[in-house]
Amino acid sequence: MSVGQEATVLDRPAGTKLIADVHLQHEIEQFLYAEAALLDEHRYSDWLKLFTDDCRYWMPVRQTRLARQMAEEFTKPGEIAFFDDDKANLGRRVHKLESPYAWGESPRPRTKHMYSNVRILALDGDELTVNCSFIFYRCALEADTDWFVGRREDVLRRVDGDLKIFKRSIYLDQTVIQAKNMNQFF
Amino acid sequence: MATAFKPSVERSFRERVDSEHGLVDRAIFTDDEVYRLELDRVFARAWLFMCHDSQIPNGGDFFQTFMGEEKVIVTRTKQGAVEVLLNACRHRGAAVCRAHSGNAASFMCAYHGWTYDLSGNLIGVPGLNELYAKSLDRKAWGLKKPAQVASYRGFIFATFDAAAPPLEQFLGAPGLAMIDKLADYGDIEVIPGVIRHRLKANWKIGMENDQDYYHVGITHASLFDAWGSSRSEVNKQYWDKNEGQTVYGEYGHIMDTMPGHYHTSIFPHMSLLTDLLQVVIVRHPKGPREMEMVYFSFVDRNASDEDKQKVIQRNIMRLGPSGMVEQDDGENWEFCTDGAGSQALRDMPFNYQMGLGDGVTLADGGAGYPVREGPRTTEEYARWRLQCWAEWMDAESWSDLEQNHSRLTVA
Repeated sequence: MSVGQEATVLDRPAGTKLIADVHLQHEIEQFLYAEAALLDEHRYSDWLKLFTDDCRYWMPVRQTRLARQMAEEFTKPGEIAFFDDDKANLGRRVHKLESPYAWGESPRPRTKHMYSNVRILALDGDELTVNCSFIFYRCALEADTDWFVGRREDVLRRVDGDLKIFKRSIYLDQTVIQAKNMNQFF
Repeated sequence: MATAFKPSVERSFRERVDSEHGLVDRAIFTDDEVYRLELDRVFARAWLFMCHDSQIPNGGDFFQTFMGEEKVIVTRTKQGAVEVLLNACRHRGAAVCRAHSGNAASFMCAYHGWTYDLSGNLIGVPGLNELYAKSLDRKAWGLKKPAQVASYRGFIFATFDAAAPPLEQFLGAPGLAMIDKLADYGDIEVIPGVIRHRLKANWKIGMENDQDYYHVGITHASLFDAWGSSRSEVNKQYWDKNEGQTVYGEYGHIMDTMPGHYHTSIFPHMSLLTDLLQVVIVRHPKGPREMEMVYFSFVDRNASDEDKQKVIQRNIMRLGPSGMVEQDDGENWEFCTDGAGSQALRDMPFNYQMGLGDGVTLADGGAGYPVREGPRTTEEYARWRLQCWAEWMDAESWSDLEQNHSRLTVA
């Protein structure tokens, strides 16, 4: 069943619509949890396969702004970002993390990627836009503890029946980064 | 054996930094007393980089930064002047500005409502008539300003010390040339996206890393793995073919002139990485064991979109907590800071002996100031910077420092 068909189903009377919504919601949540497992098991090459070849992985820089200037809180695409990667650059980061010389991964930090507040924001043909809140907890060495909290907005694409990540936008809640690095994935 | 541990504060700083033998007292990186003195003798005395003109182009624009640990707001007044204001209400000290940057007509303290204009004048006091019987002299209660503000080619600096020599004299010919290297990229502007990153490490350890070509092959080994070059190739690049000129400016400024690098430090805490990258990094102290790194990326505003994107992508892929180069560095500096604080090793200095005695000083390297000809993978940079730092720390005043500081001597 393609996303396009789902969209048609959503136009049906309330009861049928709700069941279709639940199915789609469940599928997306399971997709996100499976992704979290790959990251927490440090299977970065497998994680990379979840992305389309023309993907974009983006985390803008956020600043603390005056209440009336919140529209300028985040940098825009094409400006400075923490990540603004195509698949080739994302692949370089994966290669680096999987290198035996990646000292930050030796020993591997204990991590948990947790997602909640999963909402489907838009359905457009084979693409769907999904919002979630995340907590990424990282505990390294003896007592190095980092909490990354934020919102993610993914454009997922149905490719041969499977969901793939086409665009990922990551909006971190910190404006001053507190962790010693952000060498892992969100 | 408590008697074995001499309180190191009894020694002068020039003794604690023995650059002649390459031995440095590790406590200078973690000791609380040293740090308190450092805030007075280095950060309250030196010219400190604030921001670039292009970040505050219009009247009312502001950018918030630090002078030492002090919060300051850099503003553009309606008349176009640049002001630097302490972000602390004169009534009870609370911050009057809560944003990193933006545009404002005035700054109001959210405690009692004292309000200041873009030049720091106190323009509003709630209850001035009813509660102060009009007797409060508003002119005497404006926001504090540093003693001097000046700019060179759009780079705005400030100092708390009225006795500091003019900015261009502080920078000297080498320091000016270091800034020229970035300014000469064109009509440069800061691209939106100032990265701010805290590390639990001493600021001096971060500064030292900028010209440390010893660590590259090991620390960043996984990066070269990802980029497809071996560690021996990387080390060869830095260790075998690294003869060239290095610049040691008065008061502690440094430049390496290594192709692809040009890692420059304006004393005390400003770095410019300019040959491959176009970035300024400032490392603000937050106590002896913590710093805040702030990154400003520059492009020529007349460059094509394609060329701008190349600069931006190079910076994104390398710099900051997520940059593939710098993500490896922070952990080392945190470990070093921990090690510097060891009580048991207190009498065992850090080793800064690489390249002792190497190189020849030339009176004029072709640019009108002395340069050193020799290896560029050396700890001479670190020895020079810490030796200069010690002179700042021993000096009682700016005039004392002006008379008692090292100059590059020609053999």
